Amino acid sequence: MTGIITDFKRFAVHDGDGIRTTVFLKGCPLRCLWCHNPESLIRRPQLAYLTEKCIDCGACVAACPKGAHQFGENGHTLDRTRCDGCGDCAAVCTAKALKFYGREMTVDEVMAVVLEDRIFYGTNGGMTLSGGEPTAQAEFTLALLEAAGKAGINTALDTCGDAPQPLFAALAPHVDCFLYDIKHIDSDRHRALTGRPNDRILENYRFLAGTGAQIEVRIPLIPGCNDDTATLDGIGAFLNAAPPRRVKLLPYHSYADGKYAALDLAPPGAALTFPDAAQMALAADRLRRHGLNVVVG
Amino acid sequence: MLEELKKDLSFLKNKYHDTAAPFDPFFRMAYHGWPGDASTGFDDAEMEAGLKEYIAALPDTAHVIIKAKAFAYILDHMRIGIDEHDYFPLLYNWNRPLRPLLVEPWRLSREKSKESAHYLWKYSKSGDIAIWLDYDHSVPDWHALYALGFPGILARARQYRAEREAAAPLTVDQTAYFDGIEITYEAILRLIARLRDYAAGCSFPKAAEIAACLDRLTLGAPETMYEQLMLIFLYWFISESIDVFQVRSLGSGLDHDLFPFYTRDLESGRYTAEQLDAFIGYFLMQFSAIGNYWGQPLYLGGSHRDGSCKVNAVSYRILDVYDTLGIYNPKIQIKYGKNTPDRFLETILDMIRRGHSSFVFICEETARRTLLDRGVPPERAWDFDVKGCYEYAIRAGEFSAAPFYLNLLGPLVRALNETGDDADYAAIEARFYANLDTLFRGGIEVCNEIESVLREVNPSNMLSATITTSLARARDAYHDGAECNTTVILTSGFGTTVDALMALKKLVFEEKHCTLGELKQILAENWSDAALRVRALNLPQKFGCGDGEADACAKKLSDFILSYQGTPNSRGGYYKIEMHSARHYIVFGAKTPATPDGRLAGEETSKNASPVQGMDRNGVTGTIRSALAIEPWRYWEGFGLDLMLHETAAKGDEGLAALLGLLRAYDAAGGSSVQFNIFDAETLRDAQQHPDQYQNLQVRICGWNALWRDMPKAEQDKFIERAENLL
Ligand code: SF4
Ligand code: SF4
Repeated sequence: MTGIITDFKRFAVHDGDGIRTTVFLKGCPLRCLWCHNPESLIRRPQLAYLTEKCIDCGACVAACPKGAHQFGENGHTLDRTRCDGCGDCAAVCTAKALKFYGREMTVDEVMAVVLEDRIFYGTNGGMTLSGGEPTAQAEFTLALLEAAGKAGINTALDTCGDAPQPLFAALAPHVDCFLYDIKHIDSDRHRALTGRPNDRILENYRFLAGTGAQIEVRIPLIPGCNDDTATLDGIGAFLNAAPPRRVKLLPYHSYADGKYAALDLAPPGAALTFPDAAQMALAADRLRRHGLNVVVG
Repeated sequence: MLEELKKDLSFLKNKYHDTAAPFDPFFRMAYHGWPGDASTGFDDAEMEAGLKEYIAALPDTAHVIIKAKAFAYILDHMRIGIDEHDYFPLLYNWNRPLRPLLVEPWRLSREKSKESAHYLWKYSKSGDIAIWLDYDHSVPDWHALYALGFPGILARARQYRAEREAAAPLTVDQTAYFDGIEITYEAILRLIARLRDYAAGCSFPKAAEIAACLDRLTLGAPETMYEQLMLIFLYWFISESIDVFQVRSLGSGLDHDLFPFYTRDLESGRYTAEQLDAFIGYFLMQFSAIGNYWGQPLYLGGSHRDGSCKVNAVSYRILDVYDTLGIYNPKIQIKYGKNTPDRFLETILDMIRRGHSSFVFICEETARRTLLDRGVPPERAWDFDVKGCYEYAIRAGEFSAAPFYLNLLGPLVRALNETGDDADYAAIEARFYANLDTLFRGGIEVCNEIESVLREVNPSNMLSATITTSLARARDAYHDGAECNTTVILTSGFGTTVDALMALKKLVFEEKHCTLGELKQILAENWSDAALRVRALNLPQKFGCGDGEADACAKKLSDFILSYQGTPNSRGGYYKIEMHSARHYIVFGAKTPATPDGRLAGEETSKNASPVQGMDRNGVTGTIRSALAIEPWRYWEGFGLDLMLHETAAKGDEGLAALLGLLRAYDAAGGSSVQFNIFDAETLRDAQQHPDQYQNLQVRICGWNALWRDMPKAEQDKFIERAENLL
């Protein structure tokens, strides 16, 4: 069995407890305005091109079976319409101007990467599956979690929660900690901001909390989208019914602009603003009123 | 009393230098900030002239006697002072100008061994080896000094002399040995008495306390923590600046050493906790104010014989005072292991991420393993000293000269030039190892010659008197009177050499992007093919990425280097290897032409066991995995690893936990020394633009700290470049 992998992050220290290796799986049902992993949204492989790194060596032109790379008066250009995502050009681009997202890998191949850093995991670190949305590659995710369990590696699953409940029931025994995103409490607003309603997400949260699963709830804080008192109180009250072990409030940032540009995509959240430290502290306090353990990440 | 210390800080900071004036840290070795009391002794010119005349009039005798007498002359005539803002005295004269009068290494070594001198010159010029007459790194037997004091050390030496004399008449050498010690310690006691009397004549509030402390030291062993700190300071200052022996650790585990005195002072009510904190502060400030660029080490932590941890209340007090003062010299080494409390390590890691980069962590178990590996008996190996940057030695039993730096890239550059354009990779590699072998053998031969006269170059009168094996044998402790007198070879450019070998193999022989002849031509033209250079730089086979192929190449090179360990030296000991480049990654780099890994001519090479700057592409875990692949526990003298982290990886509770996790993992896997630099590139760039706003920004370079504002722009750029790749 294979899965489509966007990338790996070693020495990941903010994706669950301890030192971890995060595996990013490609493809996600949501389209959040603030998404900072645009290379993870679609399942299909994607080619990122960092113009400023290109040294006009021409290697990609020779490597591409589709003629997507060309050399004209202005040097090297990429015609994305011709690209079918085989990845051959990125492999020969020594300047690292081309980066290929979407490698097809087996469970063993992924586990080999994860196990390389095993000595750093200690008692609570390990593997985090993130995305994209890991549950969108359900079978592969389950197989990875099982393999990690067999190897004695702690597992965390970073999820948007938008998947069928039986799948969560199947995954739960293999997950040491869920990193569970709650983006908005109002379903219509949720749909406006992410493209999907939140009913199933909230329902799955209740379900998982009911199984006694370890959950860290993550709330990306985006001024004007979900930082108003009513929204925070709504989330707070919802979580108060089945409190997670902690709530992590994540400030929205614009670090992904470069990634959107490299993929020739327009950042959908270009008009969004970033919260400052005071806004973060205020929001955290608001949530704490609901008896939650809140940290700012 | 900490309030008092804060008020005295501006005096302390300027005690030895005008810290507001521009200065070059590499020449910050003349201790002439505060002139002292002119009526108490000579200025520089008077001292130099007087000493020359004095030495010229001495009868021709053993150098050990001449040195001891010259030492006594300086102590008797040196300008001194006590100030109302300080609990430690001022000793005006520093040895640099006087040094040639006390030790004459080059003349001596040339006379004794003309041929060696010739090779020495030849090698040093080649840029492959730097042989440097290092005759002065020591840690005395601090425990003997605390127990006996200066008078007791002198009395004990006299007793050893009397016992030997009773058995048989002393030889000329033995007489000179004991005379040297007696002249030296008598002079030290006269100086302390002179300081005491001077303090007794002052009327400001601290004077009486200072006088009483010094009086105690003229009589015997220290009884309070302040007296103990005074003893350490005086021994350190006199040894470093007059006796020409660097003291490479303040105490043998300062927290553990101070603890009994600290608790006694508190229990007896002699001093309050605040007063004791202040003494620690005044003490630490002495070294900060002197500010030698190589840093003054002290270490904390470690284990008791029963396996329990030595960390105690004083460990935390030292850290707290150090943190409050915000200084980076002394530099502090932390002996740690499984038994070291999380809280202690977290306290330090938190200081590091707030900008105190002057800490090095030393895995205690690995260090001990190296001692056992070289045959040190377990009862001597359990409680070793950490000294210098991150070296280990038998406590009060081992003195290492470190005369020999080796540029690993030199033999590779020559191997490329010496083989024909039709050579295959195996032939070039074989040539490289043959060249390396020639350098090791040649260097060892020269060092053996030079070290055979070490005792005459710089007799260690102060040090020898503290070492019982030296006294029992009547042999100079530094030369061959200790349990173990070892010699260190320091290797530089390890990572660059591995990367260069891998690039050569990939570019020319496996991926065939160019021929050997073409590559040589391109290198001769300092990488005239820019695209090929990018290819070389971006190859995945780099040391420090945890890449299997590069790590295997590294292991082979490391095994080869280590095969010279244990070679006998000329002082009854043997050679040890240290994976440490000190400043030679710059010095050698400047002399090394372009290399196949993409490095340009003259650029710095990699330092210590670290990857080439910016080539740690798989982050810290990759760097550590590569370091472990070459087995740090086999490097008998030490093994330095520098980790650079982006500040986002270190922030919050999770960041702290991750740093601790790295330390724990490195220790459990057999790591050795590790130090952290935690930055974001933006801060560094801003610091480059506005140096005045970042007066205290420090970065850790190869075993010591540098102030950002003092670093040359090219070095700053390298750091920024690396920080940029961290996200
Ligand atoms: S291979 Fe890379 S560097 Fe070369 S032309 Fe293509 S994109 Fe540019
Ligand atoms: S990914 Fe494949 S098809 Fe697309 S540009 Fe590269 S080589 Fe051509």
